Amino acid sequence: MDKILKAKIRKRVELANLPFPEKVKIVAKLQGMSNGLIIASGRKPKRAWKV
Amino acid sequence: MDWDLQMEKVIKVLNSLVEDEIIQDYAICGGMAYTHYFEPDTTFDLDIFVIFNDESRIEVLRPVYERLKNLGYEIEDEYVIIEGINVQFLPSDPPLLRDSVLNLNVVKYYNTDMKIVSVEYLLAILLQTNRSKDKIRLAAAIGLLKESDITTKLDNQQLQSILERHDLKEKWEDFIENEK
Repeated sequence: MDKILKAKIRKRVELANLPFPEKVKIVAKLQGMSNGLIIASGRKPKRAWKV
Repeated sequence: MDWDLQMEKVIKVLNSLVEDEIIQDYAICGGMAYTHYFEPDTTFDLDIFVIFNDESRIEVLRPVYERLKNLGYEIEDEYVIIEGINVQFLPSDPPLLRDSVLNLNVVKYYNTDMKIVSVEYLLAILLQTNRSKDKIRLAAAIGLLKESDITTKLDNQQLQSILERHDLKEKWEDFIENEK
Protein backbone atom coordinates (compact mmCIF):
# COMPACT_ATOMS: atom_id res chain seq x y z
CA MET A 1 0.00 0.00 0.00
CA ASP A 2 1.29 3.41 -0.92
CA LYS A 3 2.95 5.42 1.91
CA ILE A 4 0.65 8.42 1.54
CA LEU A 5 -2.47 6.26 1.71
CA LYS A 6 -1.12 4.47 4.80
CA ALA A 7 -0.43 7.83 6.46
CA LYS A 8 -3.96 9.01 5.66
CA ILE A 9 -5.45 5.88 7.18
CA ARG A 10 -3.26 6.31 10.29
CA LYS A 11 -4.53 9.85 10.70
CA ARG A 12 -8.14 8.74 10.29
CA VAL A 13 -7.71 6.03 12.94
CA GLU A 14 -6.08 8.57 15.25
CA LEU A 15 -9.07 10.90 14.85
CA ALA A 16 -11.52 8.03 15.29
CA ASN A 17 -9.83 7.03 18.55
CA LEU A 18 -10.06 10.47 20.15
CA PRO A 19 -12.40 10.76 23.15
CA PHE A 20 -15.87 11.90 22.08
CA PRO A 21 -15.64 15.31 23.84
CA GLU A 22 -12.54 16.11 21.75
CA LYS A 23 -14.41 15.09 18.62
CA VAL A 24 -17.30 17.40 19.59
CA LYS A 25 -14.86 20.34 19.56
CA ILE A 26 -13.66 19.31 16.10
CA VAL A 27 -17.26 19.07 14.80
CA ALA A 28 -17.85 22.68 15.94
CA LYS A 29 -14.78 23.79 13.95
CA LEU A 30 -15.85 21.76 10.91
CA GLN A 31 -19.16 23.64 10.88
CA GLY A 32 -17.33 26.93 10.35
CA MET A 33 -15.26 25.47 7.53
CA SER A 34 -18.30 23.88 5.92
CA ASN A 35 -20.27 27.11 6.04
CA GLY A 36 -17.30 28.90 4.47
CA LEU A 37 -17.59 26.60 1.46
CA ILE A 38 -21.38 26.89 1.42
CA ILE A 39 -21.20 30.70 1.40
CA ALA A 40 -18.51 30.66 -1.30
CA SER A 41 -20.83 28.59 -3.50
CA GLY A 42 -23.58 31.16 -3.09
CA ARG A 43 -25.83 29.07 -0.86
CA LYS A 44 -27.35 30.00 2.47
CA PRO A 45 -25.18 28.86 5.40
CA LYS A 46 -26.57 26.38 7.91
CA ARG A 47 -27.11 27.34 11.51
CA ALA A 48 -23.85 26.53 13.29
CA TRP A 49 -23.75 25.99 17.02
CA LYS A 50 -23.68 29.31 18.84
CA VAL A 51 -24.62 30.58 22.26
CA MET B 1 -16.94 28.42 23.53
CA ASP B 2 -16.21 25.04 25.11
CA TRP B 3 -18.49 22.93 22.92
CA ASP B 4 -17.51 19.77 24.75
CA LEU B 5 -18.94 21.24 27.96
CA GLN B 6 -22.01 22.59 26.15
CA MET B 7 -22.64 19.07 24.81
CA GLU B 8 -22.50 17.66 28.35
CA LYS B 9 -25.18 20.17 29.38
CA VAL B 10 -27.35 19.02 26.46
CA ILE B 11 -26.95 15.38 27.49
CA LYS B 12 -28.02 16.25 31.04
CA VAL B 13 -31.13 17.96 29.66
CA LEU B 14 -31.94 14.86 27.56
CA ASN B 15 -31.49 12.63 30.61
CA SER B 16 -33.81 14.89 32.60
CA LEU B 17 -36.54 14.39 29.98
CA VAL B 18 -36.39 10.65 30.74
CA GLU B 19 -36.08 11.08 34.53
CA ASP B 20 -39.10 13.39 34.56
CA GLU B 21 -41.04 11.01 32.28
CA ILE B 22 -41.47 13.56 29.50
CA ILE B 23 -40.20 10.83 27.17
CA GLN B 24 -39.71 7.10 27.67
CA ASP B 25 -36.19 7.02 26.32
CA TYR B 26 -33.81 8.51 23.75
CA ALA B 27 -30.69 7.61 21.82
CA ILE B 28 -28.26 9.87 20.00
CA CYS B 29 -28.05 8.97 16.33
CA GLY B 30 -27.09 10.59 13.02
CA GLY B 31 -23.87 12.48 12.44
CA MET B 32 -22.96 12.77 16.12
CA ALA B 33 -23.38 9.02 16.64
CA TYR B 34 -21.15 8.49 13.62
CA THR B 35 -18.65 10.94 15.13
CA HIS B 36 -18.71 9.11 18.46
CA TYR B 37 -17.75 5.78 16.87
CA PHE B 38 -15.65 6.99 13.94
CA GLU B 39 -14.02 10.22 12.69
CA PRO B 40 -15.42 13.67 13.48
CA ASP B 41 -17.77 14.50 10.62
CA THR B 42 -19.45 17.70 9.51
CA THR B 43 -22.87 17.86 11.08
CA PHE B 44 -24.84 20.84 12.26
CA ASP B 45 -27.28 19.10 14.55
CA LEU B 46 -27.66 16.51 17.26
CA ASP B 47 -30.25 13.99 16.10
CA ILE B 48 -32.13 12.21 18.84
CA PHE B 49 -34.35 9.18 18.31
CA VAL B 50 -37.13 9.23 20.87
CA ILE B 51 -39.62 6.73 22.24
CA PHE B 52 -42.53 8.67 23.71
CA ASN B 53 -44.68 7.75 26.68
CA ASP B 54 -47.89 8.29 24.76
CA GLU B 55 -47.43 7.45 21.13
CA SER B 56 -51.13 7.70 20.38
CA ARG B 57 -50.95 11.50 20.58
CA ILE B 58 -50.97 13.28 17.26
CA GLU B 59 -48.53 15.91 18.49
CA VAL B 60 -46.06 13.54 20.15
CA LEU B 61 -43.37 16.18 20.37
CA ARG B 62 -45.50 18.73 22.17
CA PRO B 63 -44.60 17.66 25.75
CA VAL B 64 -40.92 17.77 24.81
CA TYR B 65 -41.16 21.23 23.26
CA GLU B 66 -43.23 22.54 26.17
CA ARG B 67 -40.71 21.31 28.71
CA LEU B 68 -37.77 22.72 26.77
CA LYS B 69 -39.48 26.08 26.27
CA ASN B 70 -40.15 26.20 30.02
CA LEU B 71 -36.43 25.66 30.53
CA GLY B 72 -35.78 28.72 28.37
CA TYR B 73 -34.73 27.03 25.15
CA GLU B 74 -35.89 28.31 21.78
CA ILE B 75 -37.39 26.43 18.88
CA GLU B 76 -36.04 27.32 15.47
CA ASP B 77 -37.54 25.49 12.48
CA GLU B 78 -37.20 21.79 13.21
CA TYR B 79 -34.63 22.25 16.00
CA VAL B 80 -34.63 23.10 19.65
CA ILE B 81 -31.53 25.13 20.45
CA ILE B 82 -30.28 23.61 23.69
CA GLU B 83 -27.16 25.25 25.16
CA GLY B 84 -26.37 26.62 21.69
CA ILE B 85 -26.60 23.23 19.98
CA ASN B 86 -29.25 22.43 17.35
CA VAL B 87 -31.14 19.39 18.62
CA GLN B 88 -33.63 17.54 16.45
CA PHE B 89 -36.02 15.12 18.07
CA LEU B 90 -37.09 12.29 15.77
CA PRO B 91 -39.94 9.94 16.65
CA SER B 92 -38.63 6.40 16.32
CA ASP B 93 -41.69 4.84 14.70
CA PRO B 94 -40.00 2.78 12.00
CA PRO B 95 -39.11 -0.62 13.52
CA LEU B 96 -35.35 -0.31 12.97
CA LEU B 97 -35.19 3.08 14.67
CA ARG B 98 -37.36 1.88 17.54
CA ASP B 99 -35.18 -1.19 17.99
CA SER B 100 -32.11 1.02 18.02
CA VAL B 101 -33.49 2.94 21.03
CA LEU B 102 -34.67 -0.22 22.80
CA ASN B 103 -31.13 -1.61 22.44
CA LEU B 104 -29.17 1.57 23.04
CA ASN B 105 -25.70 1.87 24.52
CA VAL B 106 -25.00 3.91 27.63
CA VAL B 107 -21.53 5.43 27.59
CA LYS B 108 -19.86 8.05 29.73
CA TYR B 109 -19.51 11.59 28.47
CA TYR B 110 -17.17 12.96 31.12
CA ASN B 111 -19.19 12.09 34.27
CA THR B 112 -22.58 12.00 32.57
CA ASP B 113 -24.34 8.95 31.17
CA MET B 114 -25.00 9.41 27.46
CA LYS B 115 -27.45 7.20 25.55
CA ILE B 116 -26.50 6.42 21.97
CA VAL B 117 -27.43 3.90 19.30
CA SER B 118 -24.98 1.00 19.08
CA VAL B 119 -22.47 0.91 16.26
CA GLU B 120 -24.28 -2.10 14.79
CA TYR B 121 -27.59 -0.21 14.68
CA LEU B 122 -25.83 2.87 13.32
CA LEU B 123 -24.51 0.91 10.34
CA ALA B 124 -27.91 -0.69 9.70
CA ILE B 125 -29.62 2.71 9.84
CA LEU B 126 -27.08 4.26 7.44
CA LEU B 127 -27.69 1.35 5.08
CA GLN B 128 -31.45 1.69 5.27
CA THR B 129 -31.60 5.48 4.99
CA ASN B 130 -29.24 5.33 2.01
CA ARG B 131 -28.77 9.05 1.28
CA SER B 132 -25.51 10.06 -0.40
CA LYS B 133 -23.95 11.13 2.89
CA ASP B 134 -25.10 7.90 4.56
CA LYS B 135 -23.37 5.83 1.87
CA ILE B 136 -20.18 7.86 2.30
CA ARG B 137 -20.27 7.42 6.09
CA LEU B 138 -21.04 3.72 5.78
CA ALA B 139 -18.15 3.13 3.38
CA ALA B 140 -15.81 5.13 5.63
CA ALA B 141 -16.97 3.21 8.72
CA ILE B 142 -16.46 -0.17 7.07
CA GLY B 143 -12.97 0.91 6.00
CA LEU B 144 -12.03 2.06 9.49
CA LEU B 145 -13.39 -1.08 11.15
CA LYS B 146 -10.83 -3.08 9.18
CA GLU B 147 -8.03 -1.32 11.07
CA SER B 148 -6.99 -3.41 14.07
CA ASP B 149 -6.13 -0.47 16.31
CA ILE B 150 -9.45 1.36 16.05
CA THR B 151 -11.15 1.60 19.45
CA THR B 152 -14.65 0.97 18.05
CA LYS B 153 -15.30 -2.75 17.69
CA LEU B 154 -18.11 -4.24 15.66
CA ASP B 155 -20.07 -7.25 16.87
CA ASN B 156 -20.64 -8.82 13.48
CA GLN B 157 -23.04 -11.44 14.81
CA GLN B 158 -25.16 -8.69 16.32
CA LEU B 159 -25.02 -6.72 13.05
CA GLN B 160 -26.08 -9.73 10.99
CA SER B 161 -28.96 -10.40 13.37
CA ILE B 162 -30.16 -6.79 12.99
CA LEU B 163 -29.84 -6.93 9.20
CA GLU B 164 -31.79 -10.22 9.13
CA ARG B 165 -34.60 -8.91 11.37
CA HIS B 166 -34.99 -5.77 9.28
CA ASP B 167 -34.68 -7.37 5.89
CA LEU B 168 -31.41 -5.61 5.07
CA LYS B 169 -29.10 -8.58 4.52
CA GLU B 170 -29.23 -8.47 0.75
CA LYS B 171 -28.76 -4.70 0.69
CA TRP B 172 -25.72 -5.08 2.98
CA GLU B 173 -24.19 -7.74 0.75
CA ASP B 174 -24.76 -5.56 -2.34
CA PHE B 175 -23.16 -2.60 -0.57
CA ILE B 176 -20.10 -4.61 0.45
CA GLU B 177 -19.77 -6.00 -3.07
CA ASN B 178 -19.95 -2.54 -4.63
CA GLU B 179 -17.29 -1.25 -2.25
CA LYS B 180 -14.73 -3.84 -3.40
